Amino acid sequence: MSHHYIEFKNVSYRYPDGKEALKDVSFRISHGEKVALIGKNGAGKSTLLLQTNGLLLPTEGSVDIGGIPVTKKTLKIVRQTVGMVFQNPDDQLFMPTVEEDVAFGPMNMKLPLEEVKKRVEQALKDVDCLDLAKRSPMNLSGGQRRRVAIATVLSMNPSILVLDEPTSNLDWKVRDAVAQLIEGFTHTCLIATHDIGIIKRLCRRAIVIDDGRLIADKPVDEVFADADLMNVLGIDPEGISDLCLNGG
Amino acid sequence: MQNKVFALDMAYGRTSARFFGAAIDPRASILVTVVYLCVLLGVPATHIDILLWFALYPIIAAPLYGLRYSRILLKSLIILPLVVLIGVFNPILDKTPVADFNGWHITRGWLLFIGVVLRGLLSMQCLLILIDTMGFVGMVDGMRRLGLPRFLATQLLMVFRYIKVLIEEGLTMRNAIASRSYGAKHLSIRLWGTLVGQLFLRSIRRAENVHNAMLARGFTGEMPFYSTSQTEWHLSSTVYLVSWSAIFVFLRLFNLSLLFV
Repeated sequence: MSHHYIEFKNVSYRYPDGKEALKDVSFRISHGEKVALIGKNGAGKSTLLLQTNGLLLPTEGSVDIGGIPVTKKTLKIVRQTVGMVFQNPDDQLFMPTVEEDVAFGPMNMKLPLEEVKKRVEQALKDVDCLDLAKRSPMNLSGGQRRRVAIATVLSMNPSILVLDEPTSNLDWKVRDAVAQLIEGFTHTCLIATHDIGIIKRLCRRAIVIDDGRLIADKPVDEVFADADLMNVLGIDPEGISDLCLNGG
Repeated sequence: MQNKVFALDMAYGRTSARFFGAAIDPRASILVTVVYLCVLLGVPATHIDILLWFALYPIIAAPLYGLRYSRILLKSLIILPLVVLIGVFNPILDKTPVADFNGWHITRGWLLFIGVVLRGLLSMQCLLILIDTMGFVGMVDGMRRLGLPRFLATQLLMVFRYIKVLIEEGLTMRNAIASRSYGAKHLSIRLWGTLVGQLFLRSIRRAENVHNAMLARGFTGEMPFYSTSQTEWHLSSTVYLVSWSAIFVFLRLFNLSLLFV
């Protein structure tokens, strides 16, 4: 039986200023699934993602990661299981060099130095950035930073990957490269994105949230064929058809 | 300002000094700096003839480390206003005559003033050489290996990182202002107040995002130090430390200026 699943049970979250960002959200993502999380700006996608590794804890309900409830006591093991790639790579890259950034996670896991070095090398190879190891992250292009940001998470060997807008602000070529990278992952993936092409390419299933509520949890094709849903999301159905014709 | 951000990046990059080709343990570099500062500051400020010899260290060490002394000297002038402020009252308060030079009376106050300025500049140059060769991270790592508590080392790195975040946010705001100020050279004071407040809010928000990213990767308050090129203490570091320390003590104890009198 696989433990690489994500389960939300009646999760609600209210920010300290009173804003209710999530309302009674329930779903389960099984081992190996790649699921898209879609919704308008401010719908609660990022808030939902932050629940998966305990950066935010639900005000009601519970989050379960592979049989481990996400609580203050289980944060260490949860954060080793769930690797989160943030929307802005500049928030994720804070060490002097790329290799130190990629080593940050394994070092916090108190792994032996030799093991850390192996993981750093492997993670950078996986994202095709081994030659950037000694460079400062601040001197990289946007696409390179995005790939290195993914490597910083891969080096922790997580079972589950959570990605927040992985292709935002990328040109088509780099977007394609990042999509190809994610396509090759066998991890359970939850991907928050507005990129319809990426959704259709990577995911079979989509969770749609609006105003903090889960309004749909269905196969991607059914989501995009649902005119009412498209209306709620503000997506032009004809635009979807064009993408379908052109292969996304 | 963008050059300063780049310079901060470069200050991250280096992790060990090389001296005549041999890698010097960061701890040795820090200890040499500490010995230099202790000995230099132990020289009475009126002994300009002894203080001047201490200028040999930055002049000789800079090119040996691959640095340009002229650049170190220029950068050290940043401390000039502070040391001038510290020493400026000496000539006014202490008018004890100590020497005559071509009809000019040199008072003890002026000697003290020059001594204070000289000590300040030399101290600054020594610190600049340390940081330029090791980088700030290397220096903190060296201090940690010398016994600085890890939490203090983490705090120093966090402060350094936060300064960079502050500068980056400031640059972003400056560009936004420039694009909408139609060439105006000055901003109103009222606007400055708003900008400073916004700058801190934005940088705190960025810092929070970075902190979340660190927590997501298992950060528990202690900064891990990782380097594939961490220098171990070799004989070269011992020779380096002992020889420079001996030179500094020699310069302090034996006034070489007397050889020229």
